Amino acid sequence: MMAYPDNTKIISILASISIVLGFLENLFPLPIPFIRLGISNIPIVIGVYLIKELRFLLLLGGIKSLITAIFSTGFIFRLIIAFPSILVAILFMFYYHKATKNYSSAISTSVIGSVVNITMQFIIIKLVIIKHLAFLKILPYFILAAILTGAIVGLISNNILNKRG
Amino acid sequence: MPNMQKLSLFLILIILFGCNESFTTKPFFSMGTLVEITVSEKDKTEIENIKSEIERLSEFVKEETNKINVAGKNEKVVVDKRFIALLKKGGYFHDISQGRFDITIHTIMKLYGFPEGPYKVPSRSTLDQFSSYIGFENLIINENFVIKKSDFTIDMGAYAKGWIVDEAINFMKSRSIKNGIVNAGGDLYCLGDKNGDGWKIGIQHPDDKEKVISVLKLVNKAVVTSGDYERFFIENGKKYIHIFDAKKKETADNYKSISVIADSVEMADGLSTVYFLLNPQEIRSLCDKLKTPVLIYHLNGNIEKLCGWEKFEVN
Amino acid sequence: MKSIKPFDIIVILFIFGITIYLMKTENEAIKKAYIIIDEKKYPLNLDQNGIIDLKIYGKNMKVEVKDKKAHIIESDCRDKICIHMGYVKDCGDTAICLPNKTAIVIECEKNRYDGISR
Repeated sequence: MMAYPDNTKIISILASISIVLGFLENLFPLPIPFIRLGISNIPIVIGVYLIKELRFLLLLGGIKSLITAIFSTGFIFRLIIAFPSILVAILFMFYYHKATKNYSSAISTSVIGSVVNITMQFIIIKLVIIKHLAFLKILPYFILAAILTGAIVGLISNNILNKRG
Repeated sequence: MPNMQKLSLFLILIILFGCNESFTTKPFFSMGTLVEITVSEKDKTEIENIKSEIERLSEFVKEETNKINVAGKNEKVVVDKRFIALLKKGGYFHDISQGRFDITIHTIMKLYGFPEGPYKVPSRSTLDQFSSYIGFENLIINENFVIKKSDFTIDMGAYAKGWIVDEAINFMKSRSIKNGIVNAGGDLYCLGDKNGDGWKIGIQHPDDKEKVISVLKLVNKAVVTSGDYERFFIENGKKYIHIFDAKKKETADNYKSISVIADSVEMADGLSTVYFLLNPQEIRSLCDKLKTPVLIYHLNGNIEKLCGWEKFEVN
Repeated sequence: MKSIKPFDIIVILFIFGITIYLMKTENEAIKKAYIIIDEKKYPLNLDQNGIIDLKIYGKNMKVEVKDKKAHIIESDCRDKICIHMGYVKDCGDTAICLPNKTAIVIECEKNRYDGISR
């Protein structure tokens, strides 16, 4: 049970950094709606490398999306979309990292997380919120954007992880 | 645990592509037009039944109409109750158009050769003679019979097709078909949805049938377009279209096309003709009252969207 | 300190490739032309230019195919509406001759519209 206090420490630090970064990012919106760089995801990607247990990782994602949602307008709306998306994204990142540990870096892990996240958001919006709107067609464009932002986030995360030693 | 990864990917793929039902469309000729029925692959076997239902109803309207048209003045004509309801609907459209819409206008329209052709402009004296017969008030409607007070003929082509489509949709519902389209030459009803999404309907451009002027997403709604471009002829520089104003007793080339969204095809069908006979102000106040979105394509090419048409549009 | 590893490139290219592929297939619907005669559908090859006489189907009509477009050029029906309807070439286009119960239509695997109101 030695791992327990260690993980909680890491989670609380990463979650708080992630939430702060999320707010900072919301202060400076990009010209294109719905597309954000996603710097708040840097701590999540780092978490995938630091935390070895999936449940703690999911806890990190859950805390992040819950608190960000509480302090933003349209709480339920954001929670319904963000909460499951981030958990599924973390699931993908975790197993991808586990399976390809020696042959991949945080860059592709982050890209996978980012692409899965946006795809999940689309699916949830389509299934739950706007049924009568054919906008799955624009998903590929968002995926392309997600590859780019995911790679940037991954690159930053990778540098931080490498500096650590 | 790598199995879990595969499983979640598989689940996402299923959500994305798996639950889409495929639809099939069958065309056939009926009601003097090309009818297209779209149903899901599993309801395909019902198409034949829907088709014979449409043909039966089409024959019914034709026969009952004919009974009235061949009857003499003051003769008691017994017709089916459902047909009485259809005639009364004609009275409703007559009222809301302040008498401009009138099913007895067929009396002079047939002199021009409408609807089948060959077309010609009748002589003034013939027109004057037949014009005096026109008037919905000359048709006395009782519970199960009608009496003609003058020698007119009727045609309910302006909305009977819509009624038949509505009946076909009711038939489909009784066969527990939940999703589909019945499109009778552009008068169509969208039943249910298409894989959770609305049916995508284009409104044809009056001058260029390769273009559309509006794209709609419809669920359980009817849309009908009346235009001046499908049945018409030109003589001595004047365009004679298949829509006639019963008050002026002449052709009414007021717009290029008018499309109406309503809850039933009968309503959308009749209203598209009624609106065609009204001026834009009158259309605005009437569609507001009836809550039926309208798209007007003016003769000069301007497009006007009224009473919430935009709410049904996509892109 | 090597940061980019082989799987990074493979994964990014893979996702990129799939996305581009999905975008392409979305836009390229497969067109199919048909002649409908008395409710029967006969496929019409738009790649082969020429004039098709419908006499073999018992109709006094002729259809011309030219440059991936088709139109009715001759018909014994009274109103000749089908001839005025002009060329059909895009998804959902139709030219209909009611008296002869004949039409040429273009259908697509992925139709642009589920229905056209005209």
